[in-house]
Amino acid sequence: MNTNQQAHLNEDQLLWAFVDKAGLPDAAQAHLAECPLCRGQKQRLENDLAALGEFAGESVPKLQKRVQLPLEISPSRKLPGWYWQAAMGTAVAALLVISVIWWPGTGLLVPDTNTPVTAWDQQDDEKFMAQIRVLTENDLPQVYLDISEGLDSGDSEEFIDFVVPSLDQDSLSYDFANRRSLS
Amino acid sequence: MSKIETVPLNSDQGATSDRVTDTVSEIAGWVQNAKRGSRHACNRLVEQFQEKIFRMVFYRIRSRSDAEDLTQEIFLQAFKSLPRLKNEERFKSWLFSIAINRIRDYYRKKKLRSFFMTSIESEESVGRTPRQEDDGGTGALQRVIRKDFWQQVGILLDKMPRMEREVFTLRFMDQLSIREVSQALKKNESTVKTHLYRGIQKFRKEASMRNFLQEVIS
Repeated sequence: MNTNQQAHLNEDQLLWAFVDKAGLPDAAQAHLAECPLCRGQKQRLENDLAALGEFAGESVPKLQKRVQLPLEISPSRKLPGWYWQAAMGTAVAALLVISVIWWPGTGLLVPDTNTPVTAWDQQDDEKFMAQIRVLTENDLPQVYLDISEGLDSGDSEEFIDFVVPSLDQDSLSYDFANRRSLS
Repeated sequence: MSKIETVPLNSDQGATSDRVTDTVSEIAGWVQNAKRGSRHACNRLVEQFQEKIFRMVFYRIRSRSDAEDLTQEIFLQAFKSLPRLKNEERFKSWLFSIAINRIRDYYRKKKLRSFFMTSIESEESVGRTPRQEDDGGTGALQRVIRKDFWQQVGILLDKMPRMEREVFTLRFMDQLSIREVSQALKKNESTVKTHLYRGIQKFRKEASMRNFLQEVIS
């Protein structure tokens, strides 16, 4: 198409010609290549933007405090990604193993299911009966047992008499018995 | 306190071999050596980029002393994180992305400080015009022109959303290629082009800015 017949680039096309020329339609690209007016407009835009960058660069003060590197440059030895993945994998595996071993109900430390239920019941009963036997022998709490441990057998008699007086020594019972005899 | 070594600003102050280069492969070689702990390679990288980074920071915060401090921090962080850079050829855009993050941190801290202060400063209002001692000019006329320039730039950039402003600044003031901008901002190229298109559209509408530039350049 003749350059004179082809419409000039519009504002939008002109901007795209500057940003991304390859993105323009073929006809517009061909026109731009041939039309001095459009090329001139694009060139002016380029010059304005170049002037902006140039003048900005000139308007910056001189760098007075130069970059100072420490004598020992030690880049941080950050561990690589695979290391963290391996560490995470190991941690998850360890958690799984622990949960398999200890998980209530299904853990490996729980007795196997092959043992008959009656056998387990029997064991529980025995434990329970053992506890009852202990209580029957001495139902005092351990604290009192500890206190009484310090007393010998003679003293313990007196101690028990002191805690639980006999009917004769009981003051109330004694008064009651005396009154009965007087009457 | 650790001992420090100053890196020369440019080839005038450094050795003849310590020239600034634009060859990506050469820079990639320095990056590889710097990763292995080569001090010489680190110095070359600093020499290559310290002024670019300083300018980049100054465009955004408009304070020389703060920009110098941030430039120092950016390089230290870059060398510390260098082993994480997989593609050595992307060092420039990677360094710019570190700088962008540091500037964001700087503004976050500034906002936090301003929250506890009576005068409220924000990213939009802080550092739009450089301080008198930071405007880079010597004569009074130059100072006025530069002040006017930064005001015009501020007016233009204020009309752009944050990402558009960042793309526009990286492309036309920091002179990064579209690919480098996309790498620095971790956006795809078509997104960058769209932001760029909108930014240029706004620039075209700022007749006063364009007239000012044409006057100054001519």
